[in-house]
Amino acid sequence: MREALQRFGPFGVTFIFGSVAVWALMLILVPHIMLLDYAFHANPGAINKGLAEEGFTFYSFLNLFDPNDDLALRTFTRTLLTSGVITLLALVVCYPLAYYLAKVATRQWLSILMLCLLIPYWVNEVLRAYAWRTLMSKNGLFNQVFTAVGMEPVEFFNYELPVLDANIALFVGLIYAYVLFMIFPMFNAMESLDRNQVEAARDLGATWPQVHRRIVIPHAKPGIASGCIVTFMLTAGSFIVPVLLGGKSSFWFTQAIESQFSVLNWNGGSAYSLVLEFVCLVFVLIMMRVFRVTLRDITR
Amino acid sequence: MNDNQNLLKWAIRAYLLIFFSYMLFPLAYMMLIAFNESRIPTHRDFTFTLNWFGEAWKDARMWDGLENSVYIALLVVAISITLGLGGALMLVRLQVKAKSLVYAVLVSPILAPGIVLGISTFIFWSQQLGFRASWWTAAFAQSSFIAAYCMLIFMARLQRFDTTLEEAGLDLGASPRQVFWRITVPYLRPAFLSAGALAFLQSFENYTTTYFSIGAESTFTIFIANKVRQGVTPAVNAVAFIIVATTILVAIVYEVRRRGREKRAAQAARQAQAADVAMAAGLAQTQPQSA
Amino acid sequence: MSNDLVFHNVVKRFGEFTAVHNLDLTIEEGEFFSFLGPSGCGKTTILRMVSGFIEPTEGHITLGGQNLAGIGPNRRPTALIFQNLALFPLMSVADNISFGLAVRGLDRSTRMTTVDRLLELIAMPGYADRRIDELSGGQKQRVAIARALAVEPKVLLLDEPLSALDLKLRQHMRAELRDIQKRTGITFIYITHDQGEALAMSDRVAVMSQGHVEQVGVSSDIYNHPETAFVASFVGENNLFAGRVTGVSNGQARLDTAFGPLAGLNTRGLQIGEEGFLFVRPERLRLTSTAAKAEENSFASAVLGEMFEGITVNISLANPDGRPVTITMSNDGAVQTYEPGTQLNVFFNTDQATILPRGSLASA
Repeated sequence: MREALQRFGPFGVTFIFGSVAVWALMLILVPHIMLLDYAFHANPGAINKGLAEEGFTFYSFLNLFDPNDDLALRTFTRTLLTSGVITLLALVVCYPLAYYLAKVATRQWLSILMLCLLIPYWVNEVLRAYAWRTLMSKNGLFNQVFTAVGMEPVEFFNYELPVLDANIALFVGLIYAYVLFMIFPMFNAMESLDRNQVEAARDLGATWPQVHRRIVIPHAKPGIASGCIVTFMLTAGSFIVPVLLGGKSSFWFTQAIESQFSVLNWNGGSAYSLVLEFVCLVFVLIMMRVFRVTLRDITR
Repeated sequence: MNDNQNLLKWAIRAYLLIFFSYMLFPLAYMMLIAFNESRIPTHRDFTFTLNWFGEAWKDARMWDGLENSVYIALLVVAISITLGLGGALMLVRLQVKAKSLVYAVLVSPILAPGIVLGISTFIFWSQQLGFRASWWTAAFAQSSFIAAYCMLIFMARLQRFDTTLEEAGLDLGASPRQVFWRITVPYLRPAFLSAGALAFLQSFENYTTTYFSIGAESTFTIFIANKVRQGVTPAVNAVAFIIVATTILVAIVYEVRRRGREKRAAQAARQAQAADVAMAAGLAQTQPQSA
Repeated sequence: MSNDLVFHNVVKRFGEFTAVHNLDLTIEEGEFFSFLGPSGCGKTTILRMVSGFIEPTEGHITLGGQNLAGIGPNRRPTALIFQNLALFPLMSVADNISFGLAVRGLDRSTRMTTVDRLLELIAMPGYADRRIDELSGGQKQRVAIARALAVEPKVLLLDEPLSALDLKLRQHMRAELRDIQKRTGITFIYITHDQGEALAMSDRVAVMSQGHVEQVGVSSDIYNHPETAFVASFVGENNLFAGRVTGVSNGQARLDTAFGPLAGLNTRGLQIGEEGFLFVRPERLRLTSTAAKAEENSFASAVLGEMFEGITVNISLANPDGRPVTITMSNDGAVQTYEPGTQLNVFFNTDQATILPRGSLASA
């Protein structure tokens, strides 16, 4: 502390501790505590009707597990399952590209290709979703092409994918919206890998799959973990993409949260938000365990 | 062996082609439609027109949203840079116990879903404290995670800072405050710029967190989303065109400047090396002095 | 004199470890004083205590009679040249040099006058607006010195400033530093592990080992009359013969060594029966005798190898006791080539050798 005072003076130390305190408390911790508080209380309407007690209660969570109405639960599982599948898909699709950019592409090509990736990355998610909506509408470009070659037009917004219970448009749209978040962390992690290591491995007789399994992937672990976490969370927590592309039956969990809010059920909305956040937290911890990375590793 | 390599090469090319088309085509298509006269956004019966740009320009609600977006972005930049700097200084320069805990707390908003940030902020400021939800609360919600991004940028820059520079400043007679403003802050200038730019852009294009914390007010992205949800005319495409075109332009300018900077840095390094060689050679001639 | 720097019984401990033991020393105003020793000997710690970044654990330091305890580095009349120079990378040469003046609130024209004067001093006129990253290593050195001189310190502290430079540049800078010191008359305190540097530049040298000052004196005394085994082995090359004292007379003593009895100067007054080291420099050993037998020592040994180094020729001879004996001879064209294994007779004068108490030696 004495050294801190010597280096920064009293004003400096006040500024540093003050800003961290304000940030941590007012913007992060206290709002969260409020969220917890609201989630574990019932909304006034239900209390008045005698459906729930005042004070600490699980009432606001109950709707999710209501045996009579499994809409909320189905929405929840749909969201998690689809997000998981999309994350996996994004990982598989983006890994080769990340490796290519990090290790194979020449310098000129690299900057051009990166530019081509950064541009959609910087475009707003709303517009990214909107772009697909036009393409996939009943008389949109895809269906036109299909009819032109003699196929049946596809109802992208209504055709439910098996198991996932989500429609094609939403599935494709979500991938499009968030796949880039998988590439950049992996690219960053792979870039720092010394190319000589790969060459040394090849020189010692390793096949390409072996090189990747034994050298590239271990080195890129933080990037892979980071990419998976971000992609999963953005997909599970996505709001406007399901709104625009979800159609009538592919309700997303975030929309369930919104519908609670639209009837002014702050408590119910808080409870659902907490559930979503809890799931994401668990996912993050699992990823950190599986890939054996720390928090510092994954935050860029 | 050569056949296999060839096959691999073409496979890679095909893969790249598919990937990048997938990424860029929908945007290009969306931008194209802005120029079609048809009332419904489509590419059919293509007749070139610029009318939709005019329609967009006339929309008062768009300008309202834009105005709010700018206010929020500026406020977020101010808050995030200040808080981010404080956090970075604490984590990099001070010996604090529980450093990892502080780091985890400050960085947690990045890992939380945007909707949760928006809602918790709304509940705290609007429901609990009684403020009307407005662009202020949206700015607070956004700042919680944007400050973390700024902090990471400052941390990266600070970690490469040579602390003997601060010692030199003190040794030459500067007070700690003078050292901070004259030595540390100028060093951080690139970080200020990139953190500021990042904060502004992230704030401007944010949707979900803003939507849930802003109450009844609007931003540019909320305006676009509303337009898309309701009935659509290609006016939205016109706006989209402008946004994407601007993005492309900025990206190209950024790239050109970066290449320029790289070239100049390489040149300067070569010149410095030459100066040293010359000096050593020149010294060999003036050697006979008081040795 | 009024601005002497005095260490009063200064001790510095870091937890269990003592970095500096009981330092009692006076450095006179206007001296070029060096602390010489291997890494870890405590010289950097001493420098940081003088500059104010560390406080002594015991004792205190005074400058011109004023106790420096508790005065921060920015308020001490000292200036430090860092090992990595620590020039401010984003500022120009002029801004760097005038930094100390700027933080004192001096106006621009005063600052610029000083900058121009100092640029003349360091022979870099016209460099005022150059960027630091455009300068070469030698130029950066000089700017660092000018920056320190600008605040008119009473003591200038230099932390191994030449270690990063090429040989030729280093030799040039040695002369320059000495020159600047003479012209400005400021006390220079210089720390280094390079003994050639320390001996060449300094008025006085303090040789240090493991936190202790082994000897303080002028360069020639340090070299020719070392007072401890460490100094004898650290400064320059020295041959070592260990043995027990068997005779003492007239300021000389005789040691019974593995090569038989050898005699040298008994400057530390060892008594008969004590263990001692006899040191004699390689350049003082001869292969032929041209003086009277009585003043000479001689021994015989087998050649291990011969190394031709241009100006000198080094011959190493077997020593059953430890490190090979080295003879250094000028290359005057008359030096023979000796096959390994050849037995040679070696001679040296008694007054060219020094007998010192046993003690720790500098590591090879």
